[in-house]
Amino acid sequence: MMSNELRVVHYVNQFFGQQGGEDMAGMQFVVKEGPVGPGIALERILGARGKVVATLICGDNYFAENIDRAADEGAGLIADFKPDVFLAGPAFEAGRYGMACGAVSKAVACRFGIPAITGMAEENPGVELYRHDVYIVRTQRSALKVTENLAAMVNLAMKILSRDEQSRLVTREAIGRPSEDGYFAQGVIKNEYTRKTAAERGIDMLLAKLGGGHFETELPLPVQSDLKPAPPIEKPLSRCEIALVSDGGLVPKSNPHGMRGRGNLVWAAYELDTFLPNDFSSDDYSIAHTGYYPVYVLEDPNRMVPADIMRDLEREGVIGKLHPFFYSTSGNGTVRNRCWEMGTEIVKNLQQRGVDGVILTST
Amino acid sequence: MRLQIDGVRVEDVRPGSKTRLKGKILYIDTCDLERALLSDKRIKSVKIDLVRPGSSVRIVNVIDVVQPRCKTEPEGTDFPGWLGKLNVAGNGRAVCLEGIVVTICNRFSHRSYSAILDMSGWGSELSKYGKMPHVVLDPEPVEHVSEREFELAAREAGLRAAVYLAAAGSSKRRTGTEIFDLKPALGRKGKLPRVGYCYMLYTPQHDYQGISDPIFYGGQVTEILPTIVHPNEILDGALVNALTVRGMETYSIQNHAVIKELYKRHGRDLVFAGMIVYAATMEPLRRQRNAMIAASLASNVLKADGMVLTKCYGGMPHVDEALVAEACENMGIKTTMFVHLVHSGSSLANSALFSSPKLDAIINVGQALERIVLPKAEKILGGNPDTPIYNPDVNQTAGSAGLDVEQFLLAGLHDHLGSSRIVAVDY
Amino acid sequence: MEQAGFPVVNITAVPSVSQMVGLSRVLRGESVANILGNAQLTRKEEKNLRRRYVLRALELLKTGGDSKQVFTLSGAE
Repeated sequence: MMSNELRVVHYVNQFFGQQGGEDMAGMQFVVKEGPVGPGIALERILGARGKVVATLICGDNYFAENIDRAADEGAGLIADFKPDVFLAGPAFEAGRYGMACGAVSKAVACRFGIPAITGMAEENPGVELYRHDVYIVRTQRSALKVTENLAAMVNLAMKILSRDEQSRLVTREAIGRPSEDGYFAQGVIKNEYTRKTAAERGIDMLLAKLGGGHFETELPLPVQSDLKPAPPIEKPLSRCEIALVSDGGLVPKSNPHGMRGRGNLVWAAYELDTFLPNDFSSDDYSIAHTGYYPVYVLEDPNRMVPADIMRDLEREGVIGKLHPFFYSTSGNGTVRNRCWEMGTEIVKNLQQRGVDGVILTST
Repeated sequence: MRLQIDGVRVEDVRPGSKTRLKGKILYIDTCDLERALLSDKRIKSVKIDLVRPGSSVRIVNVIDVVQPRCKTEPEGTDFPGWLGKLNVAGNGRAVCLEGIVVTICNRFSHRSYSAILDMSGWGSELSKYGKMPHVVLDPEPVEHVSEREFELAAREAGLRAAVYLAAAGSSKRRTGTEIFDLKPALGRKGKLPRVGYCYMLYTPQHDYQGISDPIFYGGQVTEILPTIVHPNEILDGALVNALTVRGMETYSIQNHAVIKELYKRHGRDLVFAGMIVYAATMEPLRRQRNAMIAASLASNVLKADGMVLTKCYGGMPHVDEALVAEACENMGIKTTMFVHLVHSGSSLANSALFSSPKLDAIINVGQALERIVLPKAEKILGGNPDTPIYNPDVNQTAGSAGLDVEQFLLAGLHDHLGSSRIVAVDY
Repeated sequence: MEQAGFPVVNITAVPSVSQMVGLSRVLRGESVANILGNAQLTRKEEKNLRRRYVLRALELLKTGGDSKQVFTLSGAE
């Protein structure tokens, strides 16, 4: 084999791996040298550019039983083949197969740092779960155009590996837009070079808007949320337990949970009595939030987490109880999805304790 | 107000026994320059380096990049509020050395981050300053000068050097002239739309030690009400950058891309109706008040049909800007807003901090936090190889191989004022 | 938290963003860097102000809220 030929490892399930149908869905990993099933077409598409040095086969059910473990296992089995590229499937609309393709591709990409590409139909649940980590080429639901799909996967791989491509990206990554290269958007934002300066584009756009002409915004607006509010508290406040939550990044001085000042992903529960006693000392706190200057809050954290007032009100009987834990996070440039997740995680704690309402203080 | 900027092209800087411009080479008597800078008693000494593009140099602790400019008419009115006496900027003549810059470093400031600049390798290709010769100033404070005082001294030194250098070009034949004059657009068939510019000068949310940086005629702008300023004032030294480079430097302001583009099209596609300036605020009531006043100025004073809006670095300022834009739209003024992305991931639609359907014409100048990995540099100016270089995840120093930085800290790559050719796209 | 059935009052100095997310009990606070404080007041006055905010928040927890409004100490915007 020529030294500049790509070494490709291909993953398929029991069916495409010609081991059997549903009856073999429980089979464990098997590694075969050379291409199997659609891998043969794959090798034809590669032509002089590369060879399918090995095919990794696994039963959909075996994989589905413990996806993460199976993905790790599969990745480990191909190390000896020293792949330059990993291709999985395509899985079309087969759910278990899609999850397996996504998971093993992700594991391979992480472990070996090589391009790992798979293919699925939009309906495949694997798309939403893995498109952020792995390139998933868009296929149709049936296997009718498998050759075309494999060709798209190979083209994408070649593009990523190419070095002399004149990339339009500031980072010089050799990848095209999802719609151009036929893969599902990965939910990242990348900088591209443009022909015109922002100033030129801006005034062009405004003149078009003024003249009733066509223009295209460079920032699509979010869809307005249709969140239904939780019902109000019915019983008197004197019988309620109220919790304090904040996204201003208030943490103990050493920031033990590693909250990030920007792009943070974690939250923490701090026991209020010890975290913010009435006789607090400013030296005991940090602010993990780079979006505002922390001077005032460090001087008196009650300015952001009103524990002092809540304790007074509890003592006076205005509220029944101050929830003993304060939930802290930092919301500066945190991805929307993670914010939602954190809220859901915090809710579990609130539910356990029978909290009635929440005061969330932001910056 | 009529401003004439006489450009003189300079292609190289070299040490010389006397500061003078010969052809396209600027010879600099660095001792004389240092002497001029030491007139500020807060400064003990200034290390001055002349750096050419292509040399394996990384400049760190960069607090500003300034284009050499010197007012020839009226003389002695440079950077009013900082150097000369207070005088409205924007009128008369100035000479400008095109193609070189003054870069000021301050290694004595403890702000969490400062900019860097590479003179060779990929970093120099990414930045517009990477292809220009630099006069790098690395000053040292006199004892007992506070950190804050020295920040101001360093900034002034940069401005002073910019004037000193440009003066060498004042009697030279200019290589190009730009004239900024908002004379009425005459003799056009049909009515041209009146387009104004709403300029967010500052946001106080990152104020170091809680103190706002002075930027406008030497003063802070945090408490100003939205007001009218002539665009020439911005081009002619009334405004300098804050004391941290965040996708904008004084050079960007001196060469303000949106203002220059509006001037370019004045009388041709539009009438440049004028400019409103304001500052973002942390107080919700003031934010709304600003929006209302700015929109009123746009409608009643500028009589604008359309407004262009820009902002400075930060997430919260998007809300201020959006409120101004919405207030304008509600008064029948069409708007285009410039934004940038501060997300490390996600999609464009998920990143907006505003959602009014009227804000349908948005320019994005890029994702400020996208990371790039820069090659090792042989020589470090403005610091030393152990100078820490900011990265939220990685501890690294100026001398590291594979320096991983967020793009907004590479001076000359991004520009909130519109000179960059970058857009952030969903991938 | 709201979706899970817990009524939330969000005290914030950037209320438009909370509205965008769809919250119905948004209470406008003092300032981004000092949401329940005011550096120009004495300690005692500041604590009184904070108490008013907290009581207002508790009051809002007992109402259905309104996703089209931003509430303030004295009423709504």
